[in-house]
Amino acid sequence: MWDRLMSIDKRVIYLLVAIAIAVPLIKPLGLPLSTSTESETAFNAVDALKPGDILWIGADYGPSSAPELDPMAVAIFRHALKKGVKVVVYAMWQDGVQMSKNWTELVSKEVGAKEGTDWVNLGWKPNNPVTLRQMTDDLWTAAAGVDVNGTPLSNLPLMERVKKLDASSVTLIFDLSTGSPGTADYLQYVSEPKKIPMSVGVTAVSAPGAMPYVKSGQYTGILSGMRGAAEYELLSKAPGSAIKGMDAQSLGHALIILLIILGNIGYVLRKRA
Amino acid sequence: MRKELPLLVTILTGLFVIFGHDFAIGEKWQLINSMDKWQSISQAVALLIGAINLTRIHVNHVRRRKAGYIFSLLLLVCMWGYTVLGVIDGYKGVTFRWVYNALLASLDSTIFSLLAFYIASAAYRAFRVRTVEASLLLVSAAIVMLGRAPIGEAIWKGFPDWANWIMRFPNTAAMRAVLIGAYLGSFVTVLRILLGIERAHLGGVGGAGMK
Amino acid sequence: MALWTKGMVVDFWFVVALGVVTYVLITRARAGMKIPEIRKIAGLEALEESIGRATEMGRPVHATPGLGGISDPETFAFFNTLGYIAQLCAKYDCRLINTNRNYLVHSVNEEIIKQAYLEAGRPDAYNGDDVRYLSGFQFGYTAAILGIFAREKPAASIMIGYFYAESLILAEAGAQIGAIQIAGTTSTAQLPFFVAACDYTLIGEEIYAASAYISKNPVLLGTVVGEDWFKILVFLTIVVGTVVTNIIADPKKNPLTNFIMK
Repeated sequence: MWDRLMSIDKRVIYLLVAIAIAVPLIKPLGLPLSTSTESETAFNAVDALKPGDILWIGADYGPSSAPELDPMAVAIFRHALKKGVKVVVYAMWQDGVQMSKNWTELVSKEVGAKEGTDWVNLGWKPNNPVTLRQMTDDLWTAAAGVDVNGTPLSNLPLMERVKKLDASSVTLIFDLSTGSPGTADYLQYVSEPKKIPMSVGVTAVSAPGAMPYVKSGQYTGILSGMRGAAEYELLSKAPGSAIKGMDAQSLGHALIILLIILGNIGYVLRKRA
Repeated sequence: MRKELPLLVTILTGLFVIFGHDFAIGEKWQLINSMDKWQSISQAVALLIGAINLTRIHVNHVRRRKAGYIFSLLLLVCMWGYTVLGVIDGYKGVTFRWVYNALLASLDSTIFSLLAFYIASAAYRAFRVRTVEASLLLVSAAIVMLGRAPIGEAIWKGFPDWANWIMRFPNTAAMRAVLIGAYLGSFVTVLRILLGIERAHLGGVGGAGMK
Repeated sequence: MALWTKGMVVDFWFVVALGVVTYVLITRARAGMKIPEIRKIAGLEALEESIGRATEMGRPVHATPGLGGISDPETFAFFNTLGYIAQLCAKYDCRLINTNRNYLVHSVNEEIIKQAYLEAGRPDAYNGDDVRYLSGFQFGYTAAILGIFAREKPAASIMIGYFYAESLILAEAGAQIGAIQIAGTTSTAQLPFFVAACDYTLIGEEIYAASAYISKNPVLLGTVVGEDWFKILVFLTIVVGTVVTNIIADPKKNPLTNFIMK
């Protein structure tokens, strides 16, 4: 009897997970959400930028982490553009190009921002993080002189102000990353040596590994997974897909805890028997 | 010579990087920058190795009509077809982006989403209150999971605070310990390679041969 | 003009000091002097057992370095173990499947395995088709390994290197086919997954001790001991730093910070 609690068929578990995640996406529960200090710090870093300041967004992720990082990107990009902050987007991941093209086009259309003047997408360049490090000396050469569309940087007015990736041109870096190359490379090659403050947005599984850098003050706040994205949406008063996804996360977590409890009840009772 | 020459190149490159990084004159001469350019070029050339290798293996499969050779054929068509499409269409191209968004992105997300299912089955199988340490791990995992989702907050307002405390202190302390050890370990490994003690990457069993 | 790049003085001398300590220990080892022993690492002890089990079951052994590139130290830790794994497989006549995500790492692995089979006196047993480059895409690589697990059912899966989100997918899939799994990584985010789903996990720096541990070569063991000496030095720096920071609140006036950032 107790053995049964310890050996639920994995297909049953998978079915339960699918139901727990799918149902709240179709019919949201609307559970309340609070914000953490780390997310508030990251939000405040963007909020403190003045019109005309330059925010550098790193799109270092692919479609797999898009549900967690895309909502962050949308919220941060929208927040910055609405404040009159200029944005430069760069992807160290090839996939980051497609990801960033999707949200830059969507948000800039919504906000009415102009490509080349209000924002620039540099796209992906090969051999990162070496290319990123080269950008701190000579961005135009490292970027092969063109943006993601192949437009010469000399034709993009915003890039006249960004000849190098350093503190004289970029006020804040916000790297959205799911692995390597990613936040660690920005920290090592750009943020620390060039003294540019840096906030990060990472997938939930990467958050524990990034926490030491938040505690040491090397990252100005952190958005952790879908929850971090939802908190940013909440803080910027622009609810989006992350807030909608939080209920699914809630039920998913609750189900896993329930399964662990069941397994342990079986384990303890069998041991006693 | 087959092993000595790569070792010599390794040692010289190591010294070059240290000189370029740590000495002001190295920075003034932009040694690292010029080496970066060399690396960019050699990496781009090396990219071809992967494509050629993959092509070689799968062309052989097709030629010898090995089991499942049809998938090898599919791989070759997709790989070279998408490469050609990228060259012709570019990032701006509608077809190129459609293939990416509709196919690649979906396939990538599908495999990643397996994680949700596997986390559930792995947690169910592995998390048992076998020892005091395992029980502590289990309790902290439950607190963090509840604290990271609104349902925890709905059950008890204190969950997010406790979860954040666990993330900020015990977690950070453990992560730092592992990271410091790992950095020192990697440092010594690099040193062993630079000194030519560790040479497994040049072929064979290097320092780890059976004794 | 200053001699040093700003912030690199301590960095440089740290490298030199570690180099000197390592050199001294290597010299002592070569001279036959006593080198402290290193503790037992269960994951490395289990390598031979897992390959032996795979041989008995007539199933292959799978080994992968994860997503790391050719310049990642974790990948070198894999290289250092792969030769040993390949030699054992050659000795026991057990099939070895090596899967790769990086084209350069793949080429090196090909060379290591070929050479190990040669050194084991079994060049005929080497099969180039079993050293596979799968895909540069993280989840293309993952899906391909899942396919290999389903079709070829390896009895042992050895994953040493740098891993990302695929860690649990691979480990759980391996557990489902009943493979003995030995994993090792320095990726703090993935370690919990490996610990939960694998039979043995090499945590952080343990992967770098593999070659020294396996070979019991005193020269290599000496470098591991040197690393431990530096760990003590780092620990003392942390203790002193914590005390000093608590006394002097302003980081600009903190002598230790100023010294390190010199």
